[in-house]
This record gives sequence, structure tokens and C-alpha cells, in this order.
Amino acid sequence: MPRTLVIALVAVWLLLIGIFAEISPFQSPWPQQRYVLEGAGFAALSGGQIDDDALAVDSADENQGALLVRSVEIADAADWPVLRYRFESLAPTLELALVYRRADSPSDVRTVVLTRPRGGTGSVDLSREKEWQGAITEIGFAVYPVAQSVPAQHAFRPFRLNGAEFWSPSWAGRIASVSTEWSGRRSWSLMSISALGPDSGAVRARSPVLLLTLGLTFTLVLLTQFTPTTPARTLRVIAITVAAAWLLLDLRWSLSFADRHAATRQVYAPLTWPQRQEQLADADVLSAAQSVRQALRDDGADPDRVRLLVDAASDFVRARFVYHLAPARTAPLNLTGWGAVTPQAGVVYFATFEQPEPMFDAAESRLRLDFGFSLPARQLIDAPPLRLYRIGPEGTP
Amino acid sequence: MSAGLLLGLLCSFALGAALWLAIAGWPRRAGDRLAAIGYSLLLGMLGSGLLVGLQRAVPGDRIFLATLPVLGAVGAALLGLAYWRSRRIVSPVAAPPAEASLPRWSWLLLALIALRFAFVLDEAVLRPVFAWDAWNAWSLKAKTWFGLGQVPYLEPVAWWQSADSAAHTALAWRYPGLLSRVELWLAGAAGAWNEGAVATAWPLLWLALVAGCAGQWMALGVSRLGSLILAFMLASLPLLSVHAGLAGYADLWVSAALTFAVLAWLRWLQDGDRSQLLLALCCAALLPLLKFEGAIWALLLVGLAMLVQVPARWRWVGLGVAALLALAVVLVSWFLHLPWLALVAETISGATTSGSEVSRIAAAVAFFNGLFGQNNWHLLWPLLVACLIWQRKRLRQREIGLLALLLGGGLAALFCLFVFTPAAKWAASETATNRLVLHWVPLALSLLALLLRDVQWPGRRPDASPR
Repeated sequence: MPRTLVIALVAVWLLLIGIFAEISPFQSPWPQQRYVLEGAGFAALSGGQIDDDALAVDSADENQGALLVRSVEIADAADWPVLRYRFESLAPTLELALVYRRADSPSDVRTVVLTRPRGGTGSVDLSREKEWQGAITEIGFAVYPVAQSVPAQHAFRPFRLNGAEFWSPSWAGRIASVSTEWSGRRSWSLMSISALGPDSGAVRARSPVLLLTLGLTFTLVLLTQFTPTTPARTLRVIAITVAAAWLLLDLRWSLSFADRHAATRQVYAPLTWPQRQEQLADADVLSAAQSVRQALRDDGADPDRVRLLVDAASDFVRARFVYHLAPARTAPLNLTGWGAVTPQAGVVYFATFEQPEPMFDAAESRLRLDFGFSLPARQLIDAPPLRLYRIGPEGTP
Repeated sequence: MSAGLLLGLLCSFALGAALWLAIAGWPRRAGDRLAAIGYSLLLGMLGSGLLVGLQRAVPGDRIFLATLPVLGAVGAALLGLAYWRSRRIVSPVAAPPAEASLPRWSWLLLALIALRFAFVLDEAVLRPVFAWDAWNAWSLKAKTWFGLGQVPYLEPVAWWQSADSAAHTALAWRYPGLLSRVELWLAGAAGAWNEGAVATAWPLLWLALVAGCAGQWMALGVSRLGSLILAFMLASLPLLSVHAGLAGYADLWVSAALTFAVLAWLRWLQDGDRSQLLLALCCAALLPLLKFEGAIWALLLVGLAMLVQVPARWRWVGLGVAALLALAVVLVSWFLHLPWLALVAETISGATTSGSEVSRIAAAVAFFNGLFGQNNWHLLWPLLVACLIWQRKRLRQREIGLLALLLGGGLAALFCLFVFTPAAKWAASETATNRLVLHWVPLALSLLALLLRDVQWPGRRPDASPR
């Protein structure tokens, strides 16, 4: 292969990486200034101990996470766009966020969700965050259970904050940030079944799949147009390159799958199957559903035979409430409406979760609906966020 | 895994294997053996679900024992048919040629497939049903049926009017019930509403898809090594693994049934083997029972298959007749108030969507980003496009051209749905497009396999192994 072709190939790949990493040619290759913050300089609101230069957090706070903060003197955030953070033993069930206060609004706490790095050190380019500006007076790290896929009470494991560092603008900082995004540890979310990439929150870096596609396309063009070797040899080179790119992407996905699976194993592997079905991220909804079924029985009703209207704060919670109530004869209110709920229709039950209190008139024992209509009702559960009403004439359901 | 669940899975596999034997006979070639494993798992599990549907009054804790005799009888009948078939159709007895051994490094690919299977199986078994539609649509019915027997799910007005205290309703009241019945069957075999036990079906289906595809590719003339490489590529696709690990969605089932139907049809076109046509019909017939989109894909496949059989000079007439038939189906569905028509009308009119309008360009960008930019499919789509350009002359071969046409039609239908209708909101929010694209992904790899089937790779001798 001619030397010029090799140089052209390397140049094309470097140019593409530069474009995809969004590197500015006007920045220096290395950071000119660094602002080092030792882990021991942070304070945990609970459960933290100084361990050499690091801060070891051995127990969770009341939110099953930890908040580690310290004051800083950053006159202009724009001078320090790259944050490097070093954690050790951060469990796959925990997520990470940067929290900070600005001098111009000290009562406001701002947050930036951080990607958990593969290896010890992660980087984030804060110049892409609109709120990262002006003087910064305090920074910290919030560590908290992964939302949606991890039950909070099983999430926490001890970890160490070894330190953090701010960098002035540089190619190295940008490449480190993109590397963290491309190789970071991810967790399952509801979105994971639909699209991988958007399932991990905001997408902060351009697609490595597209980078490889374009790189391979240019490689193919250069090889076919300018190589003097036989088509068979070119075909072999292309096949090997495509295979390597595919394997690289698959290695990345396999590691990501392994991270997600590690969280699943940490939470569920020690449990029996009935226990697993009780340990859910929305265990409060499950508990509410069990209370409703018991209350219906106490009222002399068969939960699986009486009409039970269900409403909640969101489509998701409503649907989960319905699932946890199964095999009850539920009907989501957004599907059925109030339909034929009249005194003649017999007894109907109505359960709400995380909803503003319905207009229940205890004195008159009536439930007043939005459209000026009211129904005779009796409150069976009044334990916010859960409420349960029996609507209709008294007597056997 | 409990003994009951293992027995239930074995019964399902045995039922599927009996069906394969009755239709296609004893698999003698390596490709057929692999295909038989894949098809048996799919057909067996769905067949078990169909048989469970015959026992509507029986609650879940007794459904396994109640269904077992029926399953045994059907299995025995199929085996009898297989025996009769083997006596009637005498296969040419020829010693199979010596099988070309795979290079040593290729076993690494098998090991990687096995490793991925172990991961997805463990994930599926350990994690309680997680993804949204899994519990909102399919498991809700199955869990209810496990407790009460297969009570009817009615549309909301009928539910209010019904005096039947067993009548239920739900957001997914009009979704087909077959998948929920498969879940019911497995829960029944496990002896309790055990979500981990129910979820085992998805990794097994994933394995069936990989095995079935590899087998059919070999039977269609792809070399053993080529089939193994493509099987690894299929198994490595991230969103496919997600659907196996986060068990509960219908899309993997639709994908498997559609792929198996099309590959068997292609084999019939290539070899004239009628048993493959029968297998194709079986798989295609299951599609509408899985999900609404399955009915559309089945119509697309059957329509194309029928059109191919019409003599060239009658094709325009055939198209006209097909259009008239489609119109008649729509009119009859409208007259009978069939739910699928309401679903289509609501989707196209935007009645089931909410939120702000989305521009067509944004929806199109989101659609293509799902194929080429996100982490869903590795390099599958760019690789397919490149191979289509490179091997464009092979599109004139009948099987390859038809597969390309079918795949193009399916993707074009999805593109129109997600760009030119109010369903664009689902494309922009990236919540639906890739899941529907998943239905076509194994066929995209199949097209890749056929395009590269006859390429002379440097350093490789032609494969003389039995297919």
C-alpha cells in the first residue's frame, strides 16, 4: 500500500474523530490550567469519613444516596469548562450528578447528570450546559439510586470519592469528555426497550456508529480508487476493517449490557422469586394496590368482581397501579371515564394514587366530580397518596 | 428453573418438533436440523398458547394439567402424521458428503453467542416484568387470567353495560391474546404467577431466532461459516438482546414469526419444497394473533407471494383484484366494527397521540437516526446499503429480489407511518420506530446473507458441506 494512501487514511480518520468529538482548532492540545480538588476536601451530609486524600462514604443518607459538597472559588465558569471526577467502587445501581451554586443566585442548586465512567475517572464538558456560567461558589456530587429500574432500598453500596479536577479548555478535555460519553456505564430505563442511546438521558456526544460508518466509507473509497492491489486484496482489507468495527461496537455494547446486568444481579440475585416481585422501584404503588384489595375485602366485596375505577398522577403510575391490582376488575379512568356511574348502576369503587384530593364532602357523604355532578360515596381509605371511595347505594356490593 | 417450568418448556418444544416432523419430516442436513430447532421452539410455544385458549374457564394454577392431555393428543396426532408421511414420502437415501469442518477461530463466535444467551437468560429470569407494554398490555391479561380463568376483555362502553361480573377492560383490551396465553401457559407450568418463569420464553425465542435463521440460511445456500458469522451478527444486535433480556414485548415474536415465514417461503421458491410452503403458511398465520402489525406484515407477505405466482401478463389484473379485496376487507371490517380498523383510523387521524405537532423532517431524521446513528443495530443498515450497491446485479435473482422488495416494502410502510401520519410523534420521541424496525431486522440480515452467498472470498474454497 503506498505511503501516501496510508497517510491519507490516517488523516481522514483523525479529521473525522476531530469533527465527531467537536474539537475546536483554536484550543490548546493540553489544558493550560488545572484546579485540583481532593476527595477529602468534600463533606458528606451523612456517612462520610476522610480516608487519606479521599472521602469514603460507608452508609446512605435518608434518600438512600449521598450528597458530597465543598466550597470553591471559581470567578468565571467559562474558564473551567471540563470537570474530571474520580470515584471508586461506585455501584451499578447508583447514579451520579454534579450539583453547584452560583454566586448570582446562591439559594438555587443546579444539577448536571454525570455519566458513570468506565475505569476510575470520568469527564464532562460543562461548556455545553447553559447554566454553567458566572462565579461558582459551591460544587458537589449527588449519588442516588437509579430511577425506574432499581428499588431504592437495595441501591446503596459504600464508595469513595478520590477527587475532582477542573480543566481549562483543551483538546484533551474535549476528547476525555467524549470518551466518557462513548464508553460510560449505563443503566436500564423504560426507554431501553425502544432505543439505545436516548435511553441514558441527554445525548452529549455524536454517534460513534455514524463515525465508524463514515470512516469505513471513506476508507472503502480511498482503497478502491487509489490502491494498486488486486480487488481480492482490497476486499480482504475491507472485510477485516468492517469486522473489527463491528466487534468494537459489540464489545462496547457487551460491556454496557454487563453493567446493566450487574445492577440486576446486585438487587435481585440474592432474592427468591416471590421476593423479587415485591422489590420494585415502585414498591409504594404495589403496597397501595395491596391495601386497596384488602379494603375491598373488608367492605365485603370481591376485588375481582366489583368495578374498580383507577386514577393516578400520570399514565405510567395509573397503568402500574392497574397491573399491581390485577386480577381486580379495574378500569383506568382515562379509558372508561365515569361512564354509567349512577346510583342505578350499583356499587363502583374508585381508587386514586398521587392525585389532588377529589372533592369529597364527608358531611353529605358525596363525591363531587369536576363537571358539577356528585355521587353518594363513602371514603374507605384516606392515606395520601392513596384514597379509596365506595360509590353507590349502601348494602352488599 | 422449576421442574414444572422445565416440563412446560419441553412440552412446548415437543409439540413444535412434532409439527415440524409432520410437515417437513426428519431433518437430515445440518441446516435443516438447526432450522428445526428454531421453528420448533417458536411454533411449540405459540401452539401451547393456542391450546391454552381452549381451556378458558380453568384458572392458572390448574391450566397446565388441564391443557396437558390436549397437548399430548395433538402431539401424538402430529407424530402419527409424521410417521405416515415418512412411510409415504421416501427420501432419497444418500450418504451425506463429509462435512467441511469450521475453522477453529469460528468456535469463538459460537462461544460468544452462548455467552450472550446466558446473560439475557439471567437478566430475564431475575428482573420482574419491567418494560412498559410488557405489563400494560400482555402480562396484565395473563396475570388476570391466571387468577380468574380467561375472562373476557371488553371495550369500555360494553364493559359498563355488561352485567357479567367477570368482564374486564383495559387499555389493551383489543390486543390479540395469544402472547398472554403463552405467558399463562408458562406461569401455569411454574405453578404460580412467577414473572421470572414467564420471562424465560423470550431468551429461548431469541435463541430460536438465531438457530432458525442460521439453519435456513444454510439451506438457502449460504456456507456454514457464512451462516455462523451472520448468526453471530444477528445475536450481537443490541436491541434484539434487549428484547430478549427485558422480556415481555411482542416484537421479538412478530420478528421471529415473520422471518421464519419469509425464509421458508424463499426456500419453497428456490427448491420447490412444499413442506416449506406449509411452514411459511403456519408462521404467517400466527402473525395476526400476536400483534396488529403482524396482520399487516402477513398481508404484505401473502400478497407478494400470491402476486409472484400469477403469470406476468395477469399481474396488473392481480393487483386490481388485490386492491378490490383489500377494499372489501376494509368495508367488511367497518361494517362489523372490527377493532383493527378503529386502531388504524385512530393512529392515522392522530386520535391516539397527544402533544404538539412534529415536523416531517424531524420525524424522518429521527427514523434514520434510529437506523444509522443510535446504538440499536451496530453497522447493519450501512452494511446492507453498501452490499446492495456492491452486489446490485444479484437483485435480479428471484429470491434475492423478492426479499429486497419485501424488506423495502416493510420499511417504506414504517417510514410512511412515522413521517406522514400523526404517529410521527412516536418517531420523534423514539419510542416506537425501532421496535417496529426490529420486526424486519433478521430479514435484513437474511438479505445480506443472500447477497454475499456467492461472493468468492479471498483465501476461501467453496463450501461443499451438506446444507
